[in-house]
Amino acid sequence: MPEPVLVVDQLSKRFRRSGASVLTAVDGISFTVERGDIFGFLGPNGAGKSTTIRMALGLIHPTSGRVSIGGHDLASDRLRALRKVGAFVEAPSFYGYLSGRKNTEIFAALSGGAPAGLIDETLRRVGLFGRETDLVRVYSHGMKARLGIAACLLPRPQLMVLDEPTDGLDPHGIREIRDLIKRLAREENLTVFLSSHLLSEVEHLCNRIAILEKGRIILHGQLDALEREHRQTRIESPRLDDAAAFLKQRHGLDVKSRDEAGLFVQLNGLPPETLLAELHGAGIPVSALMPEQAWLDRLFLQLTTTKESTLRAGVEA
Amino acid sequence: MTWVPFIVLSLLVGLIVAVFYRLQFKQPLLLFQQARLNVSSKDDFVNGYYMAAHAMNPVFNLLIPIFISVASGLMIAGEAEGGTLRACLIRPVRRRDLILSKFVVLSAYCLCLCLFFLGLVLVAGLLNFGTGNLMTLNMFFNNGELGASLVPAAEVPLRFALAGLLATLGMTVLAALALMISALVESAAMAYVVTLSIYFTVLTLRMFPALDWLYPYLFVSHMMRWQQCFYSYVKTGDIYVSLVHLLFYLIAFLSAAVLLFNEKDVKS
Repeated sequence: MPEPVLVVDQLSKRFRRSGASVLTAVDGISFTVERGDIFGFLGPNGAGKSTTIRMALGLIHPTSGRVSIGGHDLASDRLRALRKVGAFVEAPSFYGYLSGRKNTEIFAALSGGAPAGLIDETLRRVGLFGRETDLVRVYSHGMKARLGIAACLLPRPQLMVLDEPTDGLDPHGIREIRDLIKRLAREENLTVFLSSHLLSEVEHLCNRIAILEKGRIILHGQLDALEREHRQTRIESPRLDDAAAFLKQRHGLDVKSRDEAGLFVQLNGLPPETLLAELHGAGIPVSALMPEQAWLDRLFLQLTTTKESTLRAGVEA
Repeated sequence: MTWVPFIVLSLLVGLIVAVFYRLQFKQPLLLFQQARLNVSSKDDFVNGYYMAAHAMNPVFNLLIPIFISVASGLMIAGEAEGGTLRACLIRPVRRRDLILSKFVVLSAYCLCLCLFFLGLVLVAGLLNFGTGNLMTLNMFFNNGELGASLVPAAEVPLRFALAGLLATLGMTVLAALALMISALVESAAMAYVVTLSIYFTVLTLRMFPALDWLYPYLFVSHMMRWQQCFYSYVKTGDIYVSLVHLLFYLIAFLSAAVLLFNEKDVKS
């Protein structure tokens, strides 16, 4: 039985705006992050991701619902709950007039303290050893992100919450941070809760995801199960109509979309090599048969641009 | 940034010394003579104590409140803007402990500013203009009584110590108010603008005779009680009343700051 590290239960936040109007930023969401998960939290801007993360870390008081971290209720046992967490929200923030090392010492002290040796070791692991005495205001975005991760690691957390960790980084920096997160999660047996609007990042890093839209979770599940259910296959052929008819007649597969050169179908577990052989056998030439590349992007856009999305994934493991 | 006020105060003291060398003090001389004090020239009353006591008025009523409002604005709202507040609050610390530790630092800063200014202005005054009896005009030291006061030279150091303590306590109350405002608003600029607006509004209320019934309840009235330390006779009863009021305001502002900060949603 997997052990839940972060439990979000019926969490809501309503903000009072000018006049009598109320903005529901988060609307009764529930999800669980289990030990060892790298959990991707996705959503367009304004979907409620940041508000959810801030409620999960005690920065914003929920209107209703509860958050529990490592079995400790955040509202009634905040200090114990946060002892198991390393996090940064939006962007890692530091005192620019202090060195990287001094900043880590301050934040480590707030988390209960860390021996000097551990600070050195952590700075080395994130690749900042040698630059730790420089003032943070001269650090690049990438160095600040790495320092943010170092500050997260010092309390030896069970759960690391990273809000847009690669925001503002160049492609090289993005890759560095992704590799670092993946390595640390593996080596430290960390549970990672990662918020991002970069779908490729989530696809590269996460094993579970939730997509938030207008304060509600519209998709939630294991990434590989979602991939099996939603990833389409592109078939390119000079006889697209014949290919489409064959797929419908032989396997009951509908064409999801098509263009001049090819069509997309959901194979529903049918092995692509089997389909390829069958099409050849039926005399339908196939110039290409390949899995959809940006399936998560398509799914995300499809879900978040539909006005009243009601799709709920029934693929929760 | 925290060093700027110390530089400003040093420059100001230098400027005051220069001005005191140039001024003829004809009007105070006339007023002291009208009050039947035994003075015939400025040398009879202009000394280091006179300079220091008169320099305290603009500094404790205007400059130090501005410095404290800015510092406390930066402490909560400024850190919220910079993101370091949320970096602190996502760690296992009580909000109450965090804001109280900020208040302790702010109080220490107040104390440093006040002691630095008082020490500097006294040393500069005594080195340049020597010692002597302290004569003050009550028109500069508001207590509603007309006339002049004379404090014998031997008593003056004690009077300055008492005035300094009272003024510092007053500044600490302002710091608690500023921290409360800082916990309430989202930006540092807004925090010190609101704090100074409240302070100057209350200060202005004291200028309307029709509102004199309100004076005893205004925290600013008690913040300025240090001025009475330079009267001929110190009214200890008034000093105690002000001490009680200042402590009451301190606790009230600080409690409100803790409550507001506990309930604050950190959105920035």
